[in-house]
Amino acid sequence: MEGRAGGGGGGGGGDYISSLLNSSPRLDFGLLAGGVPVMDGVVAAGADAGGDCLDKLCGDPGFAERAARLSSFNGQRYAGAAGLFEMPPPAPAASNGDFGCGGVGSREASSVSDPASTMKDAIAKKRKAPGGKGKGKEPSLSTSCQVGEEKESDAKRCKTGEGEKKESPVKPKAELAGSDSSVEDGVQKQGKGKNAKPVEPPKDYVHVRARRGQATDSHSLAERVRRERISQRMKVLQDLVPGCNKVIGKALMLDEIINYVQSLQRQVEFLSMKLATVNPLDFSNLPTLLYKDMYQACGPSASPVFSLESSNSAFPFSEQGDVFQSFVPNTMENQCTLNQLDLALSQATNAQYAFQDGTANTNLQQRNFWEDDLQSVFHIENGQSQENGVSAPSFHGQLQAGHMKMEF
Amino acid sequence: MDRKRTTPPPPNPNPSSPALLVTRAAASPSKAHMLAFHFLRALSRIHRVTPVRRRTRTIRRAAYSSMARAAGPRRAWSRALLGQARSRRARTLARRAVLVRRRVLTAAAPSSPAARGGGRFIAAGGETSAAAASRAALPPRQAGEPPRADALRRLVPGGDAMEYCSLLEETADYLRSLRAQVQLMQGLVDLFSCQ
Repeated sequence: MEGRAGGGGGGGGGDYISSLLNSSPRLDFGLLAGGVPVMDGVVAAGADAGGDCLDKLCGDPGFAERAARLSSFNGQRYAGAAGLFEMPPPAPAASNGDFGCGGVGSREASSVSDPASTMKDAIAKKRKAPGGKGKGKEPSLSTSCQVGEEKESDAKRCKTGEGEKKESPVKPKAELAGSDSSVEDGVQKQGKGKNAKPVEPPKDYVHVRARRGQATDSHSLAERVRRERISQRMKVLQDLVPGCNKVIGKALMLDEIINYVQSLQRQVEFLSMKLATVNPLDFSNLPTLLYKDMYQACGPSASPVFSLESSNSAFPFSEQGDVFQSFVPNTMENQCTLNQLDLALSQATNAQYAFQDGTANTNLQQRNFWEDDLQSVFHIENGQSQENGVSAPSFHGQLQAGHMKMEF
Repeated sequence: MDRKRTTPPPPNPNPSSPALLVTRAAASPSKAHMLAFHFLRALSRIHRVTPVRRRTRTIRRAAYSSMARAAGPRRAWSRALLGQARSRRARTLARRAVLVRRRVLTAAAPSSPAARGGGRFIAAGGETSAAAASRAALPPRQAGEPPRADALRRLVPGGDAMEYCSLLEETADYLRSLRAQVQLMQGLVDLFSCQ
């Protein structure tokens, strides 16, 4: 059996696995090792090998962690590009979470069955090579699960030995080893966890990885996940709040955020006070136009409204025109909302004129224009200021809003 | 005639119902659209209906409500805001009903309807006290959160019942909405003040 291990170590591309093999007199582990090389698609061989040697690994005390590692390898391997560490956070996090949960409760059945299930899933789902091998693995895994249970103490003991060996992983295997360590964290007990932490090259994983000297029980893992999530959200908030870049430190940043929210709320209060004192006569015209235009089709029901407004349309229109012209220098500096409102309101008034033309398709088009332009208008808020120039000619062709053009 | 539209509108030959038009307008996927729409509509209604002295409060509430509607029910803070508005309205109605009932009943003056009316008051009051109680019971939720987090919880609507992690996320979204709302209101003020 030892001979096979040697042969298997050479056969696989897994230096890491071979180092593992050489460290401990495990049988057939080379076959498993052969299944786990990162680089190439020797996976098929590994699948077969895994299937066979798992049967033989019934008596292997280190089966638990190896199964865990293997499944994590597979999971990682399929989660990202081969050799490229492009791990989608949920996948490894999920697998690690599984292992973590398995580690919490009992090392016995759950930790082994979880890797087994994930391994089965990873193998069965993603391997184009013999999928039957993956399924074939499962019953053997389940049978060997119980055997692995008894040998937990041995597993822990030899795990420390392997932990040291893991400190010399090949770089492409580093990602596997990285996930591996987190897997091990879930499987190991707290005491042994601190010894067996490998020093991994600092890659920025999104998922949780136990670092050297850190506690590895599932509680601390969850804590670490939570802390990373919190730091992510703090980064998002930092981008949102102006002036938060200079501040470093969670407490100070939190103060900044609180101040900013308070200032915005005060601004809302202040602006609502100002809006309350706005002249209702000026006010009721324009939003009513928008409002009615949005709500009513330009059908005959709308005609009295529009004709009424168009009768004194010369006055408000020119007034608005002046207003808009005066806004032109402002809008360039101000927020784009102002521009949007100008455009929206101007289009609302333009809608009147379009309606006066009387053609049905004009109504349609102008309604479409209105919505269309309103949308394009609001796109300005997203920074597409060239919308202005684009939207302008569209209804200018239809309407005599010549001096409207000037605001654009 | 679509410039940078996502979906061109279906040409609608017959004068559609307001609901259809509204849905068509609302289907255009922009939060700023929704915000402006709701807020302007509320604003016009307020200017028509509300007397001048109580407008500030109403406009502020309308601002928050339109913010919440534009954000959609997917966000916890928007749900909390709309729930607050709804409970406030219910409380106002209940209080009005109580007052009416009391006025009616003082003529007859039996004790039990007054108790019932008082019970409604108590129910309305109990609503807030229950909320306050839950707020008081909730703070020591997480060990990792800094002590300033409770100030943030007070600021963000619905922030009491959240974990710190989701509180931060909700704060970010709330900040974006607040900023959009402030921009909209500022634009309106500029628009109307220059006339």
